[in-house]
Amino acid sequence: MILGMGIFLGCNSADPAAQLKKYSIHLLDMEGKEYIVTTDNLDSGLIEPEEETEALPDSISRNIIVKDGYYYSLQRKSNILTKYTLKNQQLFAVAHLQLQDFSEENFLWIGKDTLLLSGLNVLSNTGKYYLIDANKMKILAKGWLGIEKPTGKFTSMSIGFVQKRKDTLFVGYSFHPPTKGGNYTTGDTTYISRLAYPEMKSIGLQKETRSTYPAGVNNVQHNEFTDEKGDFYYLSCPGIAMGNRTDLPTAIFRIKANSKAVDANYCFNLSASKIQNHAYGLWYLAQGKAIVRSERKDLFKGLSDHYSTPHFEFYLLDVMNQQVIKKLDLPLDKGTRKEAVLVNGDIVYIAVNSATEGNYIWKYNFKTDELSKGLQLGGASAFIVRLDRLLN
Amino acid sequence: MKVNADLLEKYHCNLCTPQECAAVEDWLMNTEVDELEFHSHKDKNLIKEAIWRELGTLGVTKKESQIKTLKPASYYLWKGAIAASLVLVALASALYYFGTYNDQSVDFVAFYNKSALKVNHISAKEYSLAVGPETYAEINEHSGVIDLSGSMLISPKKDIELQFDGAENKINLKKGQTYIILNSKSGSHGLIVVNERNLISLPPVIQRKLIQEFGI
Repeated sequence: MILGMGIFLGCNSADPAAQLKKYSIHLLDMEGKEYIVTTDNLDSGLIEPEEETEALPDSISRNIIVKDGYYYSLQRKSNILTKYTLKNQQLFAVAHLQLQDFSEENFLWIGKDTLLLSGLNVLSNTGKYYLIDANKMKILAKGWLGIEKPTGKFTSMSIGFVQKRKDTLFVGYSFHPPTKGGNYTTGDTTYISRLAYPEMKSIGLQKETRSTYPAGVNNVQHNEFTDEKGDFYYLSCPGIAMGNRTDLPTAIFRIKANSKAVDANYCFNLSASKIQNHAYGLWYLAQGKAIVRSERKDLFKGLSDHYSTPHFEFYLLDVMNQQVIKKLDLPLDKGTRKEAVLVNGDIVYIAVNSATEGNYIWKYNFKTDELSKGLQLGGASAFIVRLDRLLN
Repeated sequence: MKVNADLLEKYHCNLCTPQECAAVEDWLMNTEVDELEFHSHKDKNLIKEAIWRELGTLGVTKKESQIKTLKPASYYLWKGAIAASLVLVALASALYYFGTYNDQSVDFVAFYNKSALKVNHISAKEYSLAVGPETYAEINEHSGVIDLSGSMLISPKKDIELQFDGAENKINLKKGQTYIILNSKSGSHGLIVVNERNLISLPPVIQRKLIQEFGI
């Protein structure tokens, strides 16, 4: 009888993933309220977020990690990392983990349930990490990253990417002088530290001066990828929205699979290409092709209207051969940084907020070069800021 | 002559020169005294009565017409905050900053937080305000346009509308929300207004500075 009840209860507490849908969409309305909606179908239909769910509490923002039916969000003020699932279309906390003096910059899954969070102390002058068992929500290891600290005229830093190769981590970062009178900027050098993993001790340092501000905060937008051969690519982001060293180029760099350094013979300079602009957001498709989201400096005035003016374009790139293949025939998009692209086989889903054509997930087949409108986000939707795969 | 916390304090202690008295009285006659916020309603009435009693001895009578004005509402919103900050500063100077409070002094319809690190907190009838380090703000008394250089956090207690110098449109701020307002004319960006909960929309370098300064 007791055994029978156990089985009954066991069956009853079904895997929460069984009720979940495949894709998660994170939206902002005109007042800045945020919503998460889910769907199995990005190809057609209409979702009005306020009809499906309540707005998220202010403690949850779009710098959220989505994986295998769960959401992980670090609350800035409390430094508590919370794991959520969805219940009745609302985020429901299932576990908490208290972190200390930590500002998240980069996440990396280094195993099915092992999450490496890299970031800075709140003073933003020292690299820190937490290695987390995301299943049990336990800290496996924590400490300082063996990377350089800002010195001289530099007082803070940004970590742009963290990439793991067997027993080595590559950490890309840059330094900033104090922000005074609204002048924020970045030093002209990208630093790439090689750290022994899991000790996090430095075993090498490279200074790269062809551009600065490597990649960025990757739980807001991806600017890096690894291709089929294991070659790692990252985008430098010196534009106004990130590094603000607009004299330096937005360019793609790479660290080849068997190399210990950024490839001195490779620099895909997008600012000097026909794109002629800075860009933020780089996503890999397959076979050496990627999509970049670039700004239009002739359409916005400054940082104040950078997010609200539709001025973003999407370009298809051949990263291997350093060629801009074409501009995708999409309406101009708005929103400064967005996780706007999701790749599913030959199909690329691209979230676009157009002033003239509305908010749609566009569907691009990069094998057949066909582009069409898919799911519409209506109602209160103003910005589609994330497009994630909730279930594999 | 600029009326500041120092001078107001002197005035209340009867230590002003005739010239200084005239400046304070001029300031009082030219402002909407009701916009001042005191720590309690009782305090406000007591101070108002005391001021009018003193003015009465000088032969000045209260004229309703001088209180009524066509100046923009935001002017008084702002002035309310400045006046409130004067009261705060006077109190703070007595308690904490004796001898050093000149650094905290606030100019007429303008304030300047000269500290490179500290945030000034101001509570007015219409909103709470936290003024960032090295921030200067002044309101044009004719147009109501606010000239801001620096950063502030504002939480309106009712829906308000503000016009900033260099911005085409008025900014609508909603009751109960907290907004970050940044402006720099010489710097890398113009006027930026963002709800605190959308802080993440700003460049990461600016986000981190605001988090450190305002403790948000």
